[in-house]
Amino acid sequence: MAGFEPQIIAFCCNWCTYAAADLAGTSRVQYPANVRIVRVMCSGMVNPIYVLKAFEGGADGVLIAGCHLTDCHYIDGPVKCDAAVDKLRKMLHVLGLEDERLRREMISTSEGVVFARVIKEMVEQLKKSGPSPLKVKMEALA
Amino acid sequence: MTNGENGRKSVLVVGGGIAGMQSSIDLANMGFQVYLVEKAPSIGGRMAQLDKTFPTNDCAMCILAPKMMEANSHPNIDLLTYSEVEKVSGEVGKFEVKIRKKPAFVDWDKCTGCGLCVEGCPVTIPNEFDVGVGTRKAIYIFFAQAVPKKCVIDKREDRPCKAACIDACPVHTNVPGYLKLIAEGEFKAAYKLIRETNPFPAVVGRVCYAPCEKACNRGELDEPLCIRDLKRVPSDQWNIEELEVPVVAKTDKKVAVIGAGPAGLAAANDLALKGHSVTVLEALPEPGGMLRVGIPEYRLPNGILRQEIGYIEKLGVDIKTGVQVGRDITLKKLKEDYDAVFLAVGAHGGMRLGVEGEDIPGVMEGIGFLRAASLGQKVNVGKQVAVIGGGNTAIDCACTAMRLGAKEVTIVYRRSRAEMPASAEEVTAAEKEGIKIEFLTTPIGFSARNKKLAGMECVRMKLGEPDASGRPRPIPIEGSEFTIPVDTVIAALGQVAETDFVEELGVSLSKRGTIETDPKTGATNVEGLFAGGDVVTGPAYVIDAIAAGKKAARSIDQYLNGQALEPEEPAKEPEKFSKEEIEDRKKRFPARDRVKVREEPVKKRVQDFREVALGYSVEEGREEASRCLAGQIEGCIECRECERRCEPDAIVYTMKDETIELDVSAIIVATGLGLYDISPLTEYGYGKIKNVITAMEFERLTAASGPTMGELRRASDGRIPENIAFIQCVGSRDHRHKVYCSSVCCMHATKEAMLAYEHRPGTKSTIFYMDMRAVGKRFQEYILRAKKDYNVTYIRGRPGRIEVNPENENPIIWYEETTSGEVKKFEAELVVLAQAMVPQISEELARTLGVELDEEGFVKTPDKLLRPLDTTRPGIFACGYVHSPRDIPDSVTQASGAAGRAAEAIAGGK
Amino acid sequence: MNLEDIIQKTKTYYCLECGKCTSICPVARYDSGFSPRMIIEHALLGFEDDLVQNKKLFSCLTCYTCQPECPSDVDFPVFVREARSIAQDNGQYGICAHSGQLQSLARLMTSPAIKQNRLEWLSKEYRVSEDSDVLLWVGCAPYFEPIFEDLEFSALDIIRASLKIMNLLGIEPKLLPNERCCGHDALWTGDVETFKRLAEHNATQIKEAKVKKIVFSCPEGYRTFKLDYPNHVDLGCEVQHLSEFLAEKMGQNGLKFKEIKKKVTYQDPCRLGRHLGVYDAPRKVLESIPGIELIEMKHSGRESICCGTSAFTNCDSYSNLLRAERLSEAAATGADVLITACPKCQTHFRCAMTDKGEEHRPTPKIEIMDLANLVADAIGEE
Repeated sequence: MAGFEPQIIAFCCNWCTYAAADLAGTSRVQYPANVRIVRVMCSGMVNPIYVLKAFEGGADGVLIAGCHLTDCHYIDGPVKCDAAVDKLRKMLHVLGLEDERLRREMISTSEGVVFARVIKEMVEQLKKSGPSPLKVKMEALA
Repeated sequence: MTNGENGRKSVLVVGGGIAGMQSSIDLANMGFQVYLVEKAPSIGGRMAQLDKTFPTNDCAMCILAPKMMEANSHPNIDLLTYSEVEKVSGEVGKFEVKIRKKPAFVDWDKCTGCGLCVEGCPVTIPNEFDVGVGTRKAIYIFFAQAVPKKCVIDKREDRPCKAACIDACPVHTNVPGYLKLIAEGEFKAAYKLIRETNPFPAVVGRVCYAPCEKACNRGELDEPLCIRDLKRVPSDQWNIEELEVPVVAKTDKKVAVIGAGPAGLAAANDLALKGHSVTVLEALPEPGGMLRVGIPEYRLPNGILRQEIGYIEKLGVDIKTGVQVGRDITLKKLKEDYDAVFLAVGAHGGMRLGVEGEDIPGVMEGIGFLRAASLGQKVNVGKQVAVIGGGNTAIDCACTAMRLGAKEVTIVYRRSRAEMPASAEEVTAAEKEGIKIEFLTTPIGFSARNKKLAGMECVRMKLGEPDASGRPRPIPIEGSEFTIPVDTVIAALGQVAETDFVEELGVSLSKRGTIETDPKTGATNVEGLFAGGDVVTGPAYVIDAIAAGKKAARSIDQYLNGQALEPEEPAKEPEKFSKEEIEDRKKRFPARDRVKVREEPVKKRVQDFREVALGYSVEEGREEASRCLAGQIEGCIECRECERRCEPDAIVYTMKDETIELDVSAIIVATGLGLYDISPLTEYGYGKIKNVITAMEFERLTAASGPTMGELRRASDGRIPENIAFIQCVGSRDHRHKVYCSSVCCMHATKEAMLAYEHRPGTKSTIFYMDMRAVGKRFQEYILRAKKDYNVTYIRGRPGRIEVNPENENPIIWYEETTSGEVKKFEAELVVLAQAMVPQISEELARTLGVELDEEGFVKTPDKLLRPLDTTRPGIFACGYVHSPRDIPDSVTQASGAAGRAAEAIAGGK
Repeated sequence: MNLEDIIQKTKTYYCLECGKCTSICPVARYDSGFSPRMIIEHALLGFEDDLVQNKKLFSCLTCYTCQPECPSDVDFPVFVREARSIAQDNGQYGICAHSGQLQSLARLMTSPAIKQNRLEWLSKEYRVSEDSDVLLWVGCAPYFEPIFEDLEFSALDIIRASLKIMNLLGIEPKLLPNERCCGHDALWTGDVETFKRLAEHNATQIKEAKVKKIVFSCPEGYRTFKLDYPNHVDLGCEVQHLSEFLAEKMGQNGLKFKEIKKKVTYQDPCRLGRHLGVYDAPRKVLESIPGIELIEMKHSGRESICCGTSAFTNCDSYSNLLRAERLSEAAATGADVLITACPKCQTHFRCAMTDKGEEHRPTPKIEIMDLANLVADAIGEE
C-alpha cells in the first residue's frame, strides 16, 4: 500500500514512558511522526474503552506504554495494565484485528532510544498491514 | 288503526328496570295499552340490587317498590316477565312482535310465592341477583320484593338418571336430593331432608336392606351408589341433638300407639308433626322395639337409636315403657280414652323346634336370646354353641354368642348356602369372625349329661323338589345321624306376632295370627283402630315397618279430621336404563368405583359390642355422594322435593316455551346496564384476592335484604372492615377496555363510603380517583359532605397493583400520589372496585329489534341534539343506560321523554 | 424525528397522568427521581430540553411492565427509545456500564471491512453444516467471554449447549463467521445510526446464507430480529427463540431426558416475556425434564420483575436494589437453581451476587443457569 501513513495513538505513563518520549526528543533521536501521544498518569489507568475508542476514531495502531513492573509510582499499575491489555487482545482478536495493532511496552524514563525504536517498528509493521479495518467514524464521515 | 285490547293503541317496552317502568306507567296513564317485557323473573332491574341511591341516600327499594307495584297493578300494563323479544316486523304504527315466555316450571296462576319449596330444594347455585356473593336454590324467588312474587325453577338439563332409588324406597326418600347435599358438605340440611320421609336416618343408614341400591341406575354403568352408608354420614358429621324442634299448632285429638318400634314411632312422629297428642305404650323397659332388642349393638349402637327416639320425644310424643297392653291396660280402655289407636306391637314371639329335649337348660330361643343380651340381662353362653337357622337372626345370634365368650360357634342350617335367607354379606362377615356353618343339617334331638346340655343329635339332609316357598325341600338322609357336642343351643327359627290382646275388640286376624288390615290405609275392621309393621306382615324389614307407620299416620290424621280415608297414590315402579341410555351415560360419566366403607378389624370387633361398620369420613362421604348421576348436572336435578312440598300443586316439570304475538304501534328499548367483566384486569387481583370486591358486591353486602342481611363483612375472615379503599375507573376510561366514563362511579363510591361509615361509624374510606365527576344537582355538595362528615379521603392516582399482606390478607395498593409524585403503598382491609358498566343489549337483540348499536354497544341515536331518544329505526326509542351512561334520575327523565316520543309516533307525528 | 412526532407516534397525548405506570414501574419503586408519568408530562408540556438533558431518561429498563397496563394506551418504552435518540443528538448517552466497551464494540462492528474470528471456540465435537437451512445465532457471546470472565460466566457455554442440543436432535445448524452485533442496545439507547448499519450488514449476510430459520439463545437478538429489523431490512426467514424451538421439537422427536432432581425457578426475560409474549415455551421445556420441579416466584409471567439493567446503561445502586429484590424472590422459592433464558439476565444477576448487599439485607446467593445448559445436561449421555 503505497504512501500509506498509519496513525498510532500512544498512551504513555506520565512518570516513565512520557518522560522517555521527551528524552528521545531532547536527545534528538529520530522516530516517525505517525504517533499521537496521550499522556496518562499511569499505564494501569488505561481503560480498554480508551483503546476501543482510539480504533473507533480511526487509529491504525495503539501503543500502551508505562513503567517497568517494579518502578510504578502506584505500586501495581503495570499489572493492571497487563490485565486490561490481555482482555483487550481477546476482544480485538475476535473482532479480527491483527495482533500487532495493539502494542504493550514498558519503557523507563531513561529509555528514549527504546521508545523511538518501538515507534519505528510499529510504523514499519503497520505500513505492511495497511489501514485498520475498524475505521468506523471515518467511514461514517465518508 | 287499533291494535291493543279494547281497541286501544299499544306500546311495547323492553326492559323492566326503573326506566322501562317509568315509560310504561307514563304511557299507561296516557291511556295506551303497554306490554312490559322483562327477561328476569321480576321487574325492578339494577336499581333493585342497590342498597341506597345518591345524592339523597334514600333506600333504593323504598323508592322502587311503589313503582313496581304501580306497574304491576296498572290496568293498562301487561307484565310479561321471564320473557324475551323474539321477532319484530312491520313498521311504526303497526309493529308485529313475537315474545317468547320462558318456562318457569311453576304455574304462576297457582304459585303463592310462599317459599316452602325453596327451603326444601337441595341444589344451591350462586345467586345472580346478589352478583354471586350469595347463593340461591334451583327453585327460587328472584328477590325478596320480587314483582310478581313467583317461584322459578332453574332447570337447565334433564336429569341423567331415572331416580329409581326414590321409587324403590318404601318411604320414597329423596335420595338424589340428600346425596347432592352430602356432596356439597351440607350435612344438617341432608339430615333434615332425609328426616322429611324417615324419622330414623342414622338407624336406617346402618340396618336398611337398601332396595334403593339395587334400583340405582348407576349400578347399570359401574357400581350403584352406596346409599345406605351415605345415609348415616350426615348424623356422623353433625350432632342430631342440635336439630331444632318446629312449632306445630296443636289439635285436640289424642292418639295411642301400641309398641315403640319403628312402625309405632314413625307413626307417632308424623302424627305429632300434625299437631295431635300422641302416647306410645311400650311393653319392654326401653323404646325401640326390634331396633332395640332384635338388632345387636355392634350393628346398631344404642346411643344412636336413643338420639333419634329422643327427637321424636322432643316433638311432644309421650313414650310410656313397661306398659303391656292386655296385661297392664286393656285395648278396650285405650279405645275409649283415645280418639284413635295404632297397633304396632311387632312380632316378638319365638318359635319352637318341636324336637326331643328342647326343654333341657341350655337350649334357648333366638329372639329371646338377643333380647336378653341387648337389655343386659344375664345370659349363660357356654363354650360350644350351636345356632339353628339360616336367617339374619341366626347370624346375629351367632355373632352375639361369639362376643359373649363362646369359643366355638356353629350355625346349623338344613339347606345349602344358596338358599340361606340371611344376606350374603352378613354370612361372609360372620365366617370371617370364625363362625362355622354346617349346611344340609337338621337337629333331631338334644342330650343332657348331669342335667346339662351335652350334645345335639343331627341328621344330614339332601335337597329335593321345590316346596311351596319355591326353595328345594330338604330331605333327611337315612343313617346319617351324628352328634355335635354342645353346651348351648340357640334356635333362631323365626318370629311370630303375639296378638291375643286384640281379641276382645273382635279385630280380625289372619291364619298366621297377624292382624288383617286394608293394605292401602292400614285400617283394621274396627273403626279408629289401625295397625302396621311386623304385627301385620310378620317379620319384615325396618324400612317396611317405617313405611307402614307413616301410611297409618296419614290415615289416622284423615280419620281424626273426619275425612274419608284416601290412600296415597301408588308409586311408579323403579325404571331401568335402556341400552342406548347405558351407552350414552357411560360416555358422559367415566367409571368411578364405589368408595369402600371402613370396618373395624375382625380381631378387635369380636372382643366386645363395638360398632363394626365405621362409616365414611367427610371426604369419603362427599366423594361417594358425588358419584350420583343426578347430582352432576347444572341447575335443577328434578328430585321433586319442591313438588312434594308445594301445597297449591304449582310445580309443572313439563312446561315449555310459550310464544305470545302482539301488535304494537311503538317500541321503547330500556334494557339497562350490564357489568363489565373485569377479570382481565389482573393487576387488581379481582377473583384471586379475597378482600377485593366490586361495587355491586358491596351494594349487596350492605343491602338489608342481601345475603348477609346488611352486614358488611369481608370474605377472608368475616371481620367488619374499618379501613376501606375504593378504586375508580376499573375498566372505564381505559383504552384497553371501555374508553368511556361509566358516569356514576364517582358518586356511587362516595355513597358506598358513606354507607360503610353509617354501618360502622368511624370507618375510614379512601377513594383513589382520576378526577371527581360530580356533575349533577347537589352532587358536589354530596362529596363535600363525605369529606366533612364521613371520614372520606380522596387521593388522585390510579393504582397499578394490588398485592396481599399474607399475615392478615389485607390488600396492599401500590399507587403514585400524582399530586406529589411519590410511589406509595396503602394497606386497606377491603378494596372496592368501581367496575365499568356496559349497555345490556346483545347484538342479537339489536338485530331482532332492527336497531343499530354504536361502537361501544350503546343503542345508536343518530340525531343526538334534536331527537336524542330516536334510534335508527322509526318508532323505536331508547332510554336509560342502554342509551348512554347515566344515573337513575337521568334515566327516569329520559324514560318519560321516550314515552312522550312514543305517544307522538302513535299520533302520527315524526 | 422530533418530540412532536414521537408524541404522535406513541399516542402520548392520551395520557391522563393517572400515575399507574409509575406505581408499577420497578425502577420508580427504588428511584424516587424516576417517574414515567413525569417524563411524559414534561414532554407534553413541551419541555424538550428538560427531557433530553435528564440522565434519568436512560434509567428506564424498557421492560414493558407499564405499557400493557396503561389505560391510555401510551407506548412508554417506545417513547423513551425515540426520546433517547433526540438525547443522543444532543450529546446525552446515559451512563454506560463497563465504561462503554459494549457500546463501542457495537460501533466497531459497523465497520464493513472487519473479518472476525468469532468461531474459534467451535471444536470438532459440534457438527455444523454450511448447507443447513437453520441458522444458530451466536450473538455477543464471543465478546462476553473476556469481558465477563470475572463473573465465572461463559456466554459461549450457552451457545455450546444450544449446539449440542441441536446436534442431538439431528440438526446441524449453520453458523455465520462474520455476524455482527444485532444492534439491540444501540437501538434502545437511541443510537439509531449504528443500529441501522448493523442491521444492514446482518441482513445481507443472512440473505446470502439462504436459511429458512434463525434460532436465538438470546431474547434480545430475537426481539430485534423479529420486531425491529422488519422496519428497516428484509430477512426473508423465520426467527425463533431456542425455548420455542425446543418446545416445538420435543413434541416431535420423542427426546429422552435423564432425570435431574432439582427444584428450579424461572426468570422471564423482559424481551422474551412481555415484549414477545413467550411465557409457556420455556416452562414447557422445563416441565418435560423428569425430576425438575418448577416453583414460580412471587412475581412471574406477565408480572415478573426485570433483572435490573437494560442495554448496559444507567446501571446504578437502584438497579442493584432491584436485582437483590428479585434474587430474594428467587431464593424465597426454595429453588436450587434460578433458570434464565437470556445471557444478559444471567450477567446482571451474577454481577449483583458479587455485591454482599447491606448488612441487614444481604444479597442472596443462588445458583444460576441458562435453560439451554440445563436441557443440554438432561439430554447428555447417561
